[in-house]
Amino acid sequence: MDLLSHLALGMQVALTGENLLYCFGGVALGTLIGVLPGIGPVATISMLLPITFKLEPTSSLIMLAGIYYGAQYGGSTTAILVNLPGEASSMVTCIDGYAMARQGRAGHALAVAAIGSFVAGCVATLVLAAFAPPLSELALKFGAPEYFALMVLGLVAAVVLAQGSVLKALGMIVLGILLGLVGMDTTTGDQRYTFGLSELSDGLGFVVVAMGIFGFGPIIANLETDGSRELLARSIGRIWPPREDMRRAWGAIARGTGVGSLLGILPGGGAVLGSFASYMLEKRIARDPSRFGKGAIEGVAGPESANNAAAQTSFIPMLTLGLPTNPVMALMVGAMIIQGIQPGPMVISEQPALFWGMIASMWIGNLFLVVLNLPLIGIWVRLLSVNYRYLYPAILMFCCVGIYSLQTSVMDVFIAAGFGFLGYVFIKLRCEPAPLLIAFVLGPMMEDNFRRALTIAKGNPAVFVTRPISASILAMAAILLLIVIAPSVRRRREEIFKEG
Amino acid sequence: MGRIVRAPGDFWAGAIFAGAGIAALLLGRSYRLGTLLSMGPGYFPRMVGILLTILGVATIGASLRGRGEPSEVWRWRPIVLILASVLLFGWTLERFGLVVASALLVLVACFAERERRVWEAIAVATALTFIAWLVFVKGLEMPLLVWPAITRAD
Repeated sequence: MDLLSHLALGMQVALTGENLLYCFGGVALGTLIGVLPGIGPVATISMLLPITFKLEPTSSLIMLAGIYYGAQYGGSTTAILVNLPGEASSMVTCIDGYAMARQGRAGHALAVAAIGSFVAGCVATLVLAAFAPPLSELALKFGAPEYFALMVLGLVAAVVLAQGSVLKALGMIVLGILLGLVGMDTTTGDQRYTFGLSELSDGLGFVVVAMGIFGFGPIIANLETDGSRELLARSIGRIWPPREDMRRAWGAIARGTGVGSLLGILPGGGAVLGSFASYMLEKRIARDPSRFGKGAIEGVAGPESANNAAAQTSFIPMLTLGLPTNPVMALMVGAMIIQGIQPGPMVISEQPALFWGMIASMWIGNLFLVVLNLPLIGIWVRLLSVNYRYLYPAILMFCCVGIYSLQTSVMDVFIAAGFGFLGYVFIKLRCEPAPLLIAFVLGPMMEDNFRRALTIAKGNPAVFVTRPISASILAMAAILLLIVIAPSVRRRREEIFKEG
Repeated sequence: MGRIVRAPGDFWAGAIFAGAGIAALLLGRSYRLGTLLSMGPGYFPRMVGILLTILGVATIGASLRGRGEPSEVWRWRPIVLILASVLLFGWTLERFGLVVASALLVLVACFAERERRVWEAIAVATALTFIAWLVFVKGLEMPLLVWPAITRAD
């Protein structure tokens, strides 16, 4: 009953003309950047952050959230029609989606991706509404040791879920923590690693680092390969899949939604992982796995449902604990702080209109997205013929002005250029940058909680293992780390990522 | 070196980690450590620096044994031109204003792609500069310097 009255409050907020407009703007922009390869939600939300200064907090968060889950819809269009992931989270959709398009079933694939995303979006909205309040109440009981332990768990999970070598992922995380320490020490006021630059005394800006690594870095890497891509299906064919296909798809949609919702909540999880896991699951339980790769509709329905569900449930740890589990959530934390809201367990009780309005807007946003992506699919298909050679100068220009205007600082532009180079190097060395960015945000919080925990415990480091909640969280982190280092798991994990 | 290092990508990643860790320890050697009860500014960075150095060395060690992909080819043209265009933008923005800065940014960035004709680059730069002015100055009314300071009307 409580849930219903909360959702009703949310609907009231989300259905005002202004918020509807921002919700629509967010999901439309999300679809656009989802369709376009070479620009993702991290770079887009970074660019838009300076603009959100002027908006109402609720409107701005509704819009930014819309970009993230809207991108999950758009990404599938590019994957199916061009065999390129518009978003990283649509990587596995390429396999069977493109195969379907080659058989003249592009319309079916697009339809099932949109339907699956919609179902997943609706369910994930309910999951978010049901689980966030109890979790935030639990979180109110957490003290500094528990928060420190949670962050350790989050970072370990980010290692487990990162692609490639475990050692490199660990290194990226610790490097991220180190970068987060640049600036004034919040407890003592001492300057650290600022090289005497006053611009650095507030630390490196998250948006500056994110735009360098996720904006500039990929542009450089993309320009190395020739940008030619062939639009396969000019005509999409019939949209509604035949009954036989739909029957197979429903099961995959349900399973994808479950897998995605679960993995979205886990620290380090998110849309990318959800889609991978769902594809593996579908292939594993299929009666005839050989159909996969040759246009199996489950291979589109499952992952596309999973990535949308995960995109939405990844808001849960951010909204209840104030802990970002992926770079987009870290940006959302930034967006809330810009508006003077400290993310954490207090948000639900102190800002009920904002919290429930945002959740309700996700359901409305999903409704918009189905309309945008089914009847209006033709518009997005035409956008696919926009050449990257015209796109990247535009991205570069918007990034540069965005970085500068965030703090009216030229120094930030220079720093972003440096991180752009670093981002390119990471791509070349196959170091996944997402864990670094999460650690960058968590680093200062970790230090703060580490210090406070030890001060409360009068300098006794045993505090982390004598408090039951903190001890069990740390034990979970240790077990996770041991499992991932174990050779058999490592091999299995490599296989999973190879499949993509 | 190609024969000793089995995985050059991992080797260089490890070198970056170890380098950053050692740099953190060196730069932070004067930061006060404090005690566990009341930690100084140097305590946490020291821990992080040591951990990063160890991970870096371990990554390098692993790259000498395990198997890995061959090292990738680096193309300098996009690296140099994209980074130069961004730096140029930063250097010109507060001196000559948004119009000059974004025109130069786009112009230089355009040539990061090999087959780019001059007239095409000029057209793209003109169009995007106009869009920048429209969006940021007209639309969002951001307090940006638009034209070179001397001729600014206000």
